[in-house]
Amino acid sequence: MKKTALAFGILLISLLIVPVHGYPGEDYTKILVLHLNFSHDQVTEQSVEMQYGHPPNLGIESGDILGSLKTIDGKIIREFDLSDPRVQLGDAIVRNNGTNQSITGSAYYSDSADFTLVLPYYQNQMTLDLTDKNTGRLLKSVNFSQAIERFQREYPDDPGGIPVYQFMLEGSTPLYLVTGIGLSVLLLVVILMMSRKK
Amino acid sequence: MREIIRIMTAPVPDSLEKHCSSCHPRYSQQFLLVILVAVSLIMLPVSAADQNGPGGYAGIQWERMFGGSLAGQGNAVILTGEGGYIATGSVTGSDGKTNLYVVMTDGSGNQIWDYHGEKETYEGNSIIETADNGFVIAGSSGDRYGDGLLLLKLDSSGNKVWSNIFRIGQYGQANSVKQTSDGGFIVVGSVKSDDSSPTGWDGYILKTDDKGNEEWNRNFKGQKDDFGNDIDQLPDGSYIVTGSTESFGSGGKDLFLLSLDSKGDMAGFTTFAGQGNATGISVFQKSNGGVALSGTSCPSASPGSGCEATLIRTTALNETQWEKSIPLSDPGAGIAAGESFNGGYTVAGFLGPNDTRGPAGDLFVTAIDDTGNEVSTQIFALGQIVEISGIAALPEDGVVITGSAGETGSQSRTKFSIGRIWTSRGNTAKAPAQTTEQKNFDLTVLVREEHTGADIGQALVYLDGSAAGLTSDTDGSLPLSAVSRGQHSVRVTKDGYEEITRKVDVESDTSSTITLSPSKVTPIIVHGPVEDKIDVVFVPSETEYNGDTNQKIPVDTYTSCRTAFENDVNRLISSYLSLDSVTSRNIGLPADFRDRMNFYYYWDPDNFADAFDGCAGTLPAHFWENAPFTDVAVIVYPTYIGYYTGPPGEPNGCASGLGLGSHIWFKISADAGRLIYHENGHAMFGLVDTYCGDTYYVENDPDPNVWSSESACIASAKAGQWDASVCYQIRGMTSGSSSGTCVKQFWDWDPEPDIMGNGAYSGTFGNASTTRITYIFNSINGGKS
Repeated sequence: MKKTALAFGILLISLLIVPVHGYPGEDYTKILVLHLNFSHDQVTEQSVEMQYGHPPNLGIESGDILGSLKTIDGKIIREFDLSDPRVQLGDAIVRNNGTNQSITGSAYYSDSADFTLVLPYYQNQMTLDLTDKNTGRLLKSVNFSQAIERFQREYPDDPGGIPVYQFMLEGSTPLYLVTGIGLSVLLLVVILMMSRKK
Repeated sequence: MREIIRIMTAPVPDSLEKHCSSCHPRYSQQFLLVILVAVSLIMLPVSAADQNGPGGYAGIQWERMFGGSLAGQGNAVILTGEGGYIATGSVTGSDGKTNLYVVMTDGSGNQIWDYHGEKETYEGNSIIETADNGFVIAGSSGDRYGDGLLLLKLDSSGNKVWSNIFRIGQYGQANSVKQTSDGGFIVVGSVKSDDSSPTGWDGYILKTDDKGNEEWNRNFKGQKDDFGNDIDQLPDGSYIVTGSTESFGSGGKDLFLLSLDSKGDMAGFTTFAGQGNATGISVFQKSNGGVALSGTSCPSASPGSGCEATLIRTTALNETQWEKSIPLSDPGAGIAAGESFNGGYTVAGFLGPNDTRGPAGDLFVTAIDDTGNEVSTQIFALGQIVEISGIAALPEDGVVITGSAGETGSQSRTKFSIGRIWTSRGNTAKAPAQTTEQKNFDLTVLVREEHTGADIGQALVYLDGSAAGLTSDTDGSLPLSAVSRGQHSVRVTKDGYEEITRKVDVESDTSSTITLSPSKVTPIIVHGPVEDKIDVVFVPSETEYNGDTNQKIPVDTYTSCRTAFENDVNRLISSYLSLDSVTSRNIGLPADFRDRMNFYYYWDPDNFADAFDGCAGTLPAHFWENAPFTDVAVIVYPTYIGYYTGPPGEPNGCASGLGLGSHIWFKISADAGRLIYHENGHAMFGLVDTYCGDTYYVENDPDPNVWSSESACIASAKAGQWDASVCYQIRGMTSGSSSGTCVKQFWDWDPEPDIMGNGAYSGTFGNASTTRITYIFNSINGGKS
């Protein structure tokens, strides 16, 4: 009977594992690439595209702009800081008194700056709000719906249209954790029941 | 996976159910094991099935891109006597100059040889195979046609035999060349004496001997623009010419048929008004007598809806026998008509919007018999080819096309390309109506290497976003069955290559060739997934700077030598790997800090960074689409000549922002020494300058290296058990100095020489900076590194 339970267990685990692995290198991670312009305190949208790819790390950059990724119903998925793209930090080596070197520099301010944001794609992600942290003023709310629709039209069989990039909404329990625990409990119950019948 | 679900939910046969309900140990185990084995077998990757032969279906047999890394455009293509193809057009180098280009392939599109024009800034417009198995190309200057007409002879191996340039007036273009019965050549084109010419462009006919030396020429001109586009010689030595004329005919732009005797004197002239804006594109003599003309006709001067491809059949006396019109989307993008099977014709062109024959932009190939009746029309999606400039109807089945093909999804560069399309043969061609009943078809995806055309195996193919399988190692193919009628997206990925997605129209059993370009991102040291590491990507600059003269200097140090860039990048990486030698030992870095970084470099031979376009420079076009995972991009330029002497000079280094993440990069010279630590301190670790100057100060949070109050600095020092008395206001030339007029309302703790201060070229990171550096290393991927 133990062999039966073991075989059943192996079968169940195999079924659960196989879909996860698939083909070597199979990857459905998606990103949103935003080309924006910050000009005269106004952020404008130049293009928003969704594509396959991996994003950079978010949430480590420092700056005066707050980025808020939100769901379609306005819930915050995550927030992160961005530095003002109109400001760049220049450093130069100067020669003093013939041979001595020292550093000088200046912040370069531009009235207008194009910048690109690469963002991870999360389930139900729909907007990015950019807010001036000093004034609380909303600089721009970028809606992703058209980019997501275009992507879904091009890749209608992308698995479930769900975020392959694993992430949990703030305050919620990760879906994969719930699924994993549930399946483990189910497997345990099945094995116990079969053992008892013996 | 669908198969697995089906088995799990299938009704259990009665006999087996009895065994199971009785829980007989032996049968239960056997049943489970059978299921296990069955499931395992189903889970095994499906091996590639045999590929259909190319003649077994109608579709794109192959598409190929040529010209190496150069952008390019094919203008004309023909079938060679050896059964291969030869095409001409142009390629454009990184200097923006256009050079004539010729490529010869075998019947499968594999390159045999290519020819790059030397100093000539010409493009090939027409090509023929000569009686001695060589080739002659007629071309025009790429510079507004200002350098005359070019006639070039190559031998069968692509070696130049001779070339001649004919300068007639200020502008000239050669559009077609044919070999004449005396071994010489006849060329047709257009010339314009100068910009103020009252007669505009004039048709031009040039006769040469077999060495390309002029024997005679003729002008065909009136009061307006007239263009000669194609010419052919008849058995009696006379000539027929087609093109467009505004000087004669209906008063609009008419297609014309001009007859010349063997000496070039006019023997006849007929115009066809069409819809008011008509152009003759090709003319040829029919083997059973008479002439066939093809061209386009539009209702207005601006090509748009309502345009038609026109085929005109005349008698030997130039009397029109019949005209056939077929809707056409873009008259400027290629149409061809050639004598085909059974004395009929093949006409090819693009579908327009709302065309009932198929999706807009697809290629139609229509077979017409010699009485003007349509035999069949077949529709093809063109894969990577995005523009067609030349089409040749093949004598048996299908067409060969040339033009330009787009590279990977985000790329704007287009390359010289040739495509071979099979159509169903002769009168048995499948008409669309015959296939409407069938809903699913076989689609074979063929994956090739961009430069060599080599098959690529183990490429992962996704159909409409779902993984469909790996290509075969044998021939780079992946056969997909039961693909529904309509348009599908085919995405192909493979390590070391740029990912690509192409639209494929499936209207019949077909194949689609996808070419992969080498990845623009080359890994150097990779310790783990991009999400878990700090990903640093080095980018070569095509400029450097002279601080003594305040001049930006274009340099080819990297653009002409990838190895030089790789060597400099390796030196810069060694700085990253020895970061612990310049950080505070009191604080220390994570022991595995080196393993928390991945290093790559970016190489796009057509797009380099410009380190001196703005303070931090500009990254190559499409950098973020091609390397979206980049946490910090580093623009590397070879050297900074001299010293910075103040505005308007450009700084040695510059960072786009504070702290790694989206849109963060900095520039640095390869020989900048420790300045890379300073700039990287800004970009990767979010460290703030501690020298006093007209720069940007902020109390970075958490673990600042600059504080906005002395009390905050002291509090941090006490918390870190550092000497709290060392908090100094940023002033003077260096922090800690009480002299100088520069004073900031910010404080720092790290002693000089501080890399973020005046020790940028010789100092170290103090306790405060090192604490923040450690915080960043520990924060990657939410601290899971």
